[in-house]
Amino acid sequence: MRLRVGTRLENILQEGHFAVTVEVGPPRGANPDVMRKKADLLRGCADAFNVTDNQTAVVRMSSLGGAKILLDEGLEPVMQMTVRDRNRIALQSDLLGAWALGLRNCLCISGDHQKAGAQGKLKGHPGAKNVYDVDSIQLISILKNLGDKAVQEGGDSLDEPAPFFIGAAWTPFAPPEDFRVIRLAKKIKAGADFIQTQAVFDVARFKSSMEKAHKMGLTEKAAILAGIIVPKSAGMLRYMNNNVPGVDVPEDLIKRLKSAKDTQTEAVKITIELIEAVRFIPGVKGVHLQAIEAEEMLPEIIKKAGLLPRPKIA
Amino acid sequence: MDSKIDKGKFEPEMVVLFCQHCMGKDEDPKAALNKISGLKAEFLIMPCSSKVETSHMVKILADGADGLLVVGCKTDRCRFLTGSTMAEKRVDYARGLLDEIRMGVDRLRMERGEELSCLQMMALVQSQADAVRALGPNPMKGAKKR
Amino acid sequence: MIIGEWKPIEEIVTMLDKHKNVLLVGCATCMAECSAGGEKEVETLAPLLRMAMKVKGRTINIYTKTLERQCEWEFIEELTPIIPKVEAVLSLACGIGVQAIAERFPEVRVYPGVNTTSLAIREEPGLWAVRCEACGDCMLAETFGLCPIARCAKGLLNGPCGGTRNDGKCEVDENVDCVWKLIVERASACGRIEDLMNIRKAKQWSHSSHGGQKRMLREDLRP
Repeated sequence: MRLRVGTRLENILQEGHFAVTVEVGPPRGANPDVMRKKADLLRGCADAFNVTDNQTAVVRMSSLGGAKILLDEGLEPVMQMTVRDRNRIALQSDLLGAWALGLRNCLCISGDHQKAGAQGKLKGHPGAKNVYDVDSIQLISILKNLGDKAVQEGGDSLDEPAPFFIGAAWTPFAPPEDFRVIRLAKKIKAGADFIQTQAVFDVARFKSSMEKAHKMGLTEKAAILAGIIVPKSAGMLRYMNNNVPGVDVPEDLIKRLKSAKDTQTEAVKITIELIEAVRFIPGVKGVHLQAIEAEEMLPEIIKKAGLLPRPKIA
Repeated sequence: MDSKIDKGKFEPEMVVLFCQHCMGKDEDPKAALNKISGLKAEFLIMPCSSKVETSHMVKILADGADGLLVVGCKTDRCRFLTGSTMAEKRVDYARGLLDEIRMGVDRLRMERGEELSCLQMMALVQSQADAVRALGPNPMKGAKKR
Repeated sequence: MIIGEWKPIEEIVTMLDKHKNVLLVGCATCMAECSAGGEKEVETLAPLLRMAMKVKGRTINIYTKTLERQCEWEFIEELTPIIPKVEAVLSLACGIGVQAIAERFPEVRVYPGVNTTSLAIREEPGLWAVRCEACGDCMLAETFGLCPIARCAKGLLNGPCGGTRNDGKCEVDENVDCVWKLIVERASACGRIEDLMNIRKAKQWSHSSHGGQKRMLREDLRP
C-alpha cells in the first residue's frame, strides 16, 4: 500500500507494528543541548517523539525548533501545533517552514488556554490575547489540503504540495462523553491519520470508548495510540484525577501506588501493565507515553514492556 | 458609657438609619439621646432597613458624618423577609467602597436588633462611635452644613 | 445589553488628578441596567469621588447628570449648558457613550469611568453573562441557539476541547458551563445530534472587528 507521506511513524503503522511514541517537552530556555540530551536518552526507544507546543501556555522553545533539533539528532519528531497562538496565516507559514526543514508529522490540537499557565507554580502569560482563528479540526483540514491539494486555506495554491502525517488528540472521557467519539469522527473525517489519546488509567472504560469508535469504523480509518502517563506518585494520580479534565484514575490504582514499598518500581510496573492492557484492545495501534519531567524512566519501561528494539523499516 | 466618650480625642458625629420595627414600642431614641452627654447622633427612621441605598450611605459620609450605623431587624424577623439581608449586602458593598478609597470601613456598620430599648440602641451607637474615634474625624467634615 | 463595571476608584482618581470641575454623566440605558452607570451609580460615585479626593488632600467639584442614552446625539445635547463649567467629563456610559461625548465636546477632556466588558444577559439578579461577541457572521442556527464564539473560551466551532471538567464546567472557569456541552445536550434533545457531525469551516473573521472598522450603511434611511 502506498504511503501518503512516508514518515517512520506512518511506515510502522502501515506495516502493522505496535507503535510507540513518547513526549519530549522543550526547555524553558534556548539551549539546544537540553533537547539533544533528551534525544540521547530516548534514541531508539520510540518510533516518533512528540515535541509539545508551549504546553499549559507556558513559553518554551518552539515545537518547530525543538522538533528540528530532534530530527538533526536522528529522531523522528511529531511537531505539536496548537491553534491558540497563531492565526491561519502563521500556522500555514510555520507548517511550510517545518516541512522545508524536514518535519513531516504534525499533531493538531486546541492547546491549553493561556489562563492554564497561571494555575501552577509558573506565572505564564494569563494576560495574553489568544488567537483561536481556526480550531483544531479546521487545522487538520488545512494540513490535509496543503498535502493533498497543495491549496492554502484561503484558496491560493502552493508551488508544490506539503504533505504531513496528520495527528489529532482524543479525550474520550470528558463530558459530553457521548459526543467525544463523534468529535473523533470529525477529526478523522477532516483528515487525521493518527490519534493520540488523553491518558488512560481506567482500561475498562477506555475499552468501551474504543468499542464505540470501532463500531463507527474509525479504528480502520485512523491509527489510535493510547495515551499513557507514567504515574510518578499517588499524589500525582490524585491530582490528575481531580484536576486534569478527561483523566479518570481508579481509586484502587491510587491506593496501590500509595502503599507500594518502592514507588518508582511500582510506577514502572503499573505503566507496563497499562501498556499490556491497552495493547490488546481491538483498534489500539500503539501507545503514546508521557513521563512528565521524568523522561529517564521511559527506556526501562519500554524495554520491560517488550517493545524494544523498535522495528526497522525498509 | 459616658466615661468612654471623654477618653476620645473628638466626639464623632453619628448618623443612625434604623428600621421602625427593630425598636420597642414607645422607644424614642432622640429623647434618649438628650440624656447621654457627649454622644452626637442623628436618628433617621426607615420603614425597612432595605430602603437604604448605597448612594445614601456614601452621601451621608461625604456630607461629613463621622460614622453611619444602619440598624435592621434580625435576619428571620424582617417584615419584608429579605429586607435586612439586602440592606446588609449593600452595607458590605459600601464598606468595600470606603475601603477602596481608604476612608476606613468602620465608619459604616450594620447592626441588627429586635425590640431594642433606647439604652440598647445607644450602646450600639456608642460601640460604633468608639470604632470611629479610632479612625479620627471624617476629612469631609464641614463639607455640608449639618 | 452592553455590560460594564466601574473602573477601580484609584484609577478614576488618578485620571481626574488635575481637574477641579468635573461633570459625571450617567447613561440610563444599558449601564443603568447593569448597575454600573445609571442615576443611582452616578449619585454614589460622585460623593465617593469627593471623599476619595479629600482623603488625598484635594477638593473637586462634581456636577452630575444622567442622560437617557449617551449614544444618541439628541440626548447628549442636554449637556451643552454644563460643559462650559467643567474641564472634564467622567462618563459612566459604555465605550460608545464616552466616545460620543468626546466627539460632541472636543473642548473638554472625556474619561471613562467604566470598563465595558461584553454583550450580555442578566441571568439572575446581580449576575450577568456574555452572550454575543458581535462577530458579524452569526452561526447560532448551527449551534442550536448557543454561541460558542462568545461562550467558549477558545471560540471552538466544531465541538468541545478536551478541557471540559467532569461536572461539565469550562476548564477556564469552574462557574461557567462548557457551552459545547450545552449545545450537544440541546442537539440531543432535538434529536438532531447528526447536525453537529458537519465540519464547520474556518470562520470569516472579516465580518468582525478583525476585518477593519465596521460601518453599516442604509441608503434608504439617509436624508
